[in-house]
Amino acid sequence: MRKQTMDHTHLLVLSLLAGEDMYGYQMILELSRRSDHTFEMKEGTLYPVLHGLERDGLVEAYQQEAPTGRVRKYYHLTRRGASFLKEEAEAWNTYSSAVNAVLRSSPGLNLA
Amino acid sequence: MDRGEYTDAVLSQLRRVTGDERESIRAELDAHMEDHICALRDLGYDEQLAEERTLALMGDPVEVGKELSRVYTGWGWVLLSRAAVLLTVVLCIQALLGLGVLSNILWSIQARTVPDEIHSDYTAAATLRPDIRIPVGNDVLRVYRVSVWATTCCGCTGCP
Repeated sequence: MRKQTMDHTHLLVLSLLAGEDMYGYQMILELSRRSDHTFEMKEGTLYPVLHGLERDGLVEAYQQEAPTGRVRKYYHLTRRGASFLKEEAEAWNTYSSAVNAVLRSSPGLNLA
Repeated sequence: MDRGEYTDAVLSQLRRVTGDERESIRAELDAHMEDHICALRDLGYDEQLAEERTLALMGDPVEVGKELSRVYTGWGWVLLSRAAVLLTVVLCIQALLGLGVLSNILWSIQARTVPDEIHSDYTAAATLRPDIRIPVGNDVLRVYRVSVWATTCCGCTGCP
């Protein structure tokens, strides 16, 4: 169960970066906003995910100075990361569709 | 716990990282907490409460550190950097003590700067300081001291 949760986190982070480069705190805010506060992870746990994705070549990092003068570490989705995201998103769609189909056919759940 | 202690607790779980990686992780976590604290300050929180709230939302630092340590698993660069430091220290010590492969460095520097202070294991019976300089190609042969001493035969077969 824990491994499945971690995999989903990787997928969510890659999805965020598909639209634009972001830094860590920005990802936390966007994730919460886009999921209507469903996904509110412990913020420190984002960084093992990001560093793991960077190690695997799915994202790359660079430093950029913000208008306030603060230097932030931004993450960028690589071409390999975009390809991996596409595959994982398709796999997730297949998986979630199957789960939903089983749940819908379960008596007493009254799911649409 | 304050921000610095939080980051220290995370980094305490990392063994196989270089110094640069450690400082990069520290800077990134510090920047994240700074951003969150600033956002809370903008909402009216005071500094202390903003920091407490931020640290609570960061999660258990030991768990974060353990997760990070699973990413940094390579010994390669760590061992290479530590070996380079050790080698440099050993070579410096050898050069200063006149030992090993760099044993001639100290003697070479002394011969060019303070030749008369070079230690000799022998007590000279007579010493002459001619300071003769003879050009040899692009170099200069300098005879700065000539000494003679007496020795007793040790009985080895190499003596004439």
